[in-house]
Amino acid sequence: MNDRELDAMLRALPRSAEPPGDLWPEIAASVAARPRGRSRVAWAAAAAIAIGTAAWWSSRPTPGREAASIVVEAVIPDVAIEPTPAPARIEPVAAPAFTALIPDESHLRAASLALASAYASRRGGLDRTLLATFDDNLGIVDDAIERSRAALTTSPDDPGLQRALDRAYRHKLSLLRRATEVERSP
Amino acid sequence: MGTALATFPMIARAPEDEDEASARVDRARAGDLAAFEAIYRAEAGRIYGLCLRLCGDATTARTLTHEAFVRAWEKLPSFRGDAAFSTWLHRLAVNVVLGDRRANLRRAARERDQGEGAATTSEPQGRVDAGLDLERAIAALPAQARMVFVLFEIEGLGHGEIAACMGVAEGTSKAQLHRARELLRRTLA
Repeated sequence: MNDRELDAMLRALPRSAEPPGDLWPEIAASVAARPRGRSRVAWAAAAAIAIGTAAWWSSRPTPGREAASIVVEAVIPDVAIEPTPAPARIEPVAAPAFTALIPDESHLRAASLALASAYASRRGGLDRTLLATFDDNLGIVDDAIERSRAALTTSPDDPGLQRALDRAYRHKLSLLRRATEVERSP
Repeated sequence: MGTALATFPMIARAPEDEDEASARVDRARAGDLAAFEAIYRAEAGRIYGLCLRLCGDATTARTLTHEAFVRAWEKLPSFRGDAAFSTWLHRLAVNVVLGDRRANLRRAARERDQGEGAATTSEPQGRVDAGLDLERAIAALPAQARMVFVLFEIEGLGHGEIAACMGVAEGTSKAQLHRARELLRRTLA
């Protein structure tokens, strides 16, 4: 084969290749562990604060609090479709049984519930576009959490799935923390 | 990196509206994860193809594609639009692959120093079986020659850029390209 023939073969090479499976759920979960604009140390510190806040919050003797927070978590994605900037309505319901699928899941879940509650309480003062962005992103992360949990129920020892779930929770915490820190619109 | 080359099913890339793509990048830069997912959907094939050709191993290429998009999300706020977004993303992916290679080489050197066995970065050498196509022949090239070849012939980088990315002399890049072409010609003859 001469150079010209090799060049002709090269020109005919396509530039794309189909990845083996959809990588997006794992990517969406991974960006949680490395949020933008802060060092990893700062992120770790912020996550620790969030978890500490959740621990304090979860220790408060408020009947029905856990159930109410679950409602808040479920309500957030729906509010994005109905962009009424009123605080989410919280009503006590019976709490479904929860089983942690990774070692830190109880803490991560408690932290996200606490932050979701704080986010819900200040939605009314936030810009609608910003709200929609947060809600869209939270919906994606919630979907990643659900998918990871569903997969873990059939493959509970899969380390990749465990990491994916951990990252999805941390991404959710990051999003909620930013949502609760953003300044209210005038 | 291993030498196993998975099937290389190629996908056509549909043309898309530049304004729409630009708006999508702006939204992703502002933190819109849904927009970033759309970017992933549009670019995953090219980034995976790049990673696969550079490393020659489907499993590693999958991991590096994942890492490239995570890195892109982190660095998107610093994207100023001086180059086309796809060019920026490709360069970022190239850096991820080369960074992985450097880490592998360092790890292999440590293991050699500690007497923990042979280096893990075995480089495929010699001829591949007759009849294998160009993709397989590229994957079977020695790692450094393969990377130079892919970056120069397929991704269109110059020898100066390749030398800077890979931390080698420009002359080394030219020599590796010559070596790669020679090996391919012999393999495909």
